[in-house]
Amino acid sequence: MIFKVLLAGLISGLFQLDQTGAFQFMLSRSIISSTILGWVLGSIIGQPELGLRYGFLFGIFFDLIWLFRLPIGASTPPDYQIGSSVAISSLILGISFFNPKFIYIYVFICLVMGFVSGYIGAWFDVIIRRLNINISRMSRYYWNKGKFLKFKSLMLLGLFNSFVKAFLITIVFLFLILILNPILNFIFENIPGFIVEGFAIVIFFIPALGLIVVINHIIKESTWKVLGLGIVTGAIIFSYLKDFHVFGFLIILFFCIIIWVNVLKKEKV
Amino acid sequence: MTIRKIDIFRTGLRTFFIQSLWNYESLLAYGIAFSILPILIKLYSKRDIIRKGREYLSYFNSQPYLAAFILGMLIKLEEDAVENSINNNSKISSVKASYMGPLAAMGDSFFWWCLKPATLIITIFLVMYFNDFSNALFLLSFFLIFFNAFHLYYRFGSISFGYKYGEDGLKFFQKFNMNLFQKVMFQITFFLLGISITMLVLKFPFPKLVENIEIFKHIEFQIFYGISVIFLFFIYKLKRSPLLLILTTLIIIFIFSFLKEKNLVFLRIN
Repeated sequence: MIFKVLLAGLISGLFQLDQTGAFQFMLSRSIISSTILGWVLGSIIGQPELGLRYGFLFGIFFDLIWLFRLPIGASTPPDYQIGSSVAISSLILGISFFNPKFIYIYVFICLVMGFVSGYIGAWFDVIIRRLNINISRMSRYYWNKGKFLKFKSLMLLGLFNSFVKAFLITIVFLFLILILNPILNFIFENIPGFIVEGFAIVIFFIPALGLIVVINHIIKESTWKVLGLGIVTGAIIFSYLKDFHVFGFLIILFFCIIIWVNVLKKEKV
Repeated sequence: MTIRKIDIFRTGLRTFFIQSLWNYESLLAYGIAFSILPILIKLYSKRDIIRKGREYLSYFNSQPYLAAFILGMLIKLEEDAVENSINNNSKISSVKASYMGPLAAMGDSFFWWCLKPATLIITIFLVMYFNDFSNALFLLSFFLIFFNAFHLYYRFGSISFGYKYGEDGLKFFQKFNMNLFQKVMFQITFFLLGISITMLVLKFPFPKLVENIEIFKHIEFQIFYGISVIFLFFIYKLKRSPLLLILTTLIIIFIFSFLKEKNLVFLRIN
């Protein structure tokens, strides 16, 4: 188990590097990092598809819920990458400790843990940025001494801090869930059966919450019409063309082209 | 000593680490200094580079991808200064100060407010629509390819234009109509958001994650789910707190459990 926890921490740390420290190829986005992490850990426990599906589900939630909390200037938004990594790792590595009938409550617990770890990640970000002030002063010292190799090395130290942040938070939360599993099991056993069953609908709400947040943030008067068009088109497609994936997709594509042309026309006017 | 294309490319590669030492005091300044250091080493003596520290290690903040344009201009300035033996220190500070703000505004609105959300929504829509997780990793690569095509075009294109044309290089940003693209992407994103929401209610894209999915296909549940989503939408509109959203979801789960237990007429899903 320790190997699996460390592996989860390592992968989480590597994805964290892409978030701000290096590259910014968007590999750290939750739908990418969480899906890959879920797939890797799922493969280790012999259930790659389960890891993939839940990884993507958590990815949607954490990516969308903080999508518009941007790290512009000095602001430190919650860490979506750590949040989704903690949530999916806790689920995949902890799932074997619970009776399968409790899976949906456990999914909810993992979601909340990921949410909390995202805020802790943001708090650590502030510490790292302060720590970077000291490192940058040391860098300036070496620059002024003409020791440019040391100056470059200190840049790497900044990267190392980001890695350690994600690695530590991920493994601490994973150990926490592993230690707490007897207590959680005891609590779960004492929850009335009908509530345990009712928790199944959490799967329906996880992606919906993300979409609700996005719509709320970017909706404008001019976009209500397009949103409505999407809802009506979706309602028709999913009511009548249940098995026509490609045909339905072509209809959607057709509407996208009409929207495009319409915007171009308006621009010309 | 002339600057070759490969030097510009190397500087471009170094901009991948522009935020490594991001801090509250100088923000991206150390990333800029790190990126341009090989050029300075090529052009100046050690003593001169040390003097340049005052300009390069002082406050700098911009959008990390478009900061490459400023770097391109700075390389050009340094090259001209060496060729004409002039002191360009004040010019460096003024170029940094005048361009970092506008480029940050342009980059933030294009990359963070438009391209990233739009690409994410399109990718999520594609994975949910095709609902075949054997292709999920392939569909996710669409997100990476689409976003990074723009990312790399602007990172390497702008550094090369900045170097080639200096301040005139701003015409690089007119080559592609960012404004029009943003408008189109915004409309398409909303259209796909509408379809995604309907898809969640009418044809749930993750059926294998829910046991006895058939009982959730009843119209009674779909109505309950649809109303709950609208309710959550207004809860979030009221107070923009994701925590409140999660707590409300928990309450909805309890309400659903009780309704299901009592087997009420409008929720016959047992």
